Amino acid sequence: MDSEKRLALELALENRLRADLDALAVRPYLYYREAAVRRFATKPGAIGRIFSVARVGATIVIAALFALAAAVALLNLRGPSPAASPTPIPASSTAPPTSPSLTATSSPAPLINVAPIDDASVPVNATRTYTATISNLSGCVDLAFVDANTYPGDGTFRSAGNGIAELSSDAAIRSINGVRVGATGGTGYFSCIPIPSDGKITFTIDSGTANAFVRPVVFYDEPDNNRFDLDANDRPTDKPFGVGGATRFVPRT
Amino acid sequence: MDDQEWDEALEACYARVLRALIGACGSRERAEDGLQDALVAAWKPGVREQVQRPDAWLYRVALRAIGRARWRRRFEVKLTEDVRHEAEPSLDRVSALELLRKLTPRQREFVVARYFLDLSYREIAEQWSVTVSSATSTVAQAIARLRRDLEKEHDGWIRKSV
Repeated sequence: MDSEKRLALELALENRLRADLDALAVRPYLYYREAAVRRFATKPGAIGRIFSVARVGATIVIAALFALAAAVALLNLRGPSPAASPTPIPASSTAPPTSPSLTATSSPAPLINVAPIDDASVPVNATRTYTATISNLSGCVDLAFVDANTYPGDGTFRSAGNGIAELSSDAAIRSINGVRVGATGGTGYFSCIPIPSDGKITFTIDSGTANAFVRPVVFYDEPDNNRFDLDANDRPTDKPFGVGGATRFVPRT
Repeated sequence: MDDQEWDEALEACYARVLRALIGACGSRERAEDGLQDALVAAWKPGVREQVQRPDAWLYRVALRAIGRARWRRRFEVKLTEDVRHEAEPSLDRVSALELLRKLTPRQREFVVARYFLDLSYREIAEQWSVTVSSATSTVAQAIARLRRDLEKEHDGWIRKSV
């Protein structure tokens, strides 16, 4: 039944196509022939095709040149890149070329400087005063000593093992910001000294040990474990930190 | 086949081919452009020696030219041009172009080739470089689609009109 229906449909479709399409009027053959001949005659030959390709190529080159010129003009309008042409520093300028406080505009790095940084000798039981200048840091810092003989000055400290710096107890802190500390002769380690608003902590040290040779270290104890922590390369992980100049306590003559 | 015989062969079949092209692409203008392109191609050296059926060859080459000239999508959309709309969807009253509009471009080309130009499935397969079974199934799908659509529009149209 299906095949009969299909056959009938095919027959009907064929009849319909013939009836409708055959009814369409067409122009005489000569019309199409002449039009085709004209089209054939105007078709470009090999040279014509070469010229055509050359025209397209020239158009692309000109468009690329225009795009390049537009890009150059746009760059000139925007001005020179700071990275490409830095502003030269005048020869008479005394300003430092770079400093962290000038370059780090968004979040300046915390910093601890301990002064003086020069080495000095003082008599036993005499005092030497240091000032730690702390910037971009809040909270408190710890104060300790390291043996100046073991401090190489290359950013590393002698390790006492387990990632802790070897501290010295040959000297003691006598006062902090003018206030005496240590009821019985001071202490060699002072934990969590609050950072004042001006960031300056002045402290004095002394020692009763002849030939004690120490350097004060001021550091931000993080984590708060009252230790000066070092990494595997003996570099401090408690940051920032500052190291003052060495003090030798010489015997009184 | 010399020039004169070739020209006579083309003259004998061009009208049927043009009508078939109108049926397949739905536009007289594009069909005529395609036919002219096919005639230009027909006079290229070495072509006539390879042609078995001039009408089938012209039809296929013209369709290719039409396809090149227009985007395929536009080719399909434009088929709605020149279509008469009948109220009653029986086969007797539905125009051929309206019937063909229901088919895909490939189905239209094959249906016109099969039922209007009387090409066999083998000739269709040769012209379009497809297998005979592919040509057969394409036409069968077209017939099934026409039947399904017409049944949907008008219940039992086959009993009434066939």
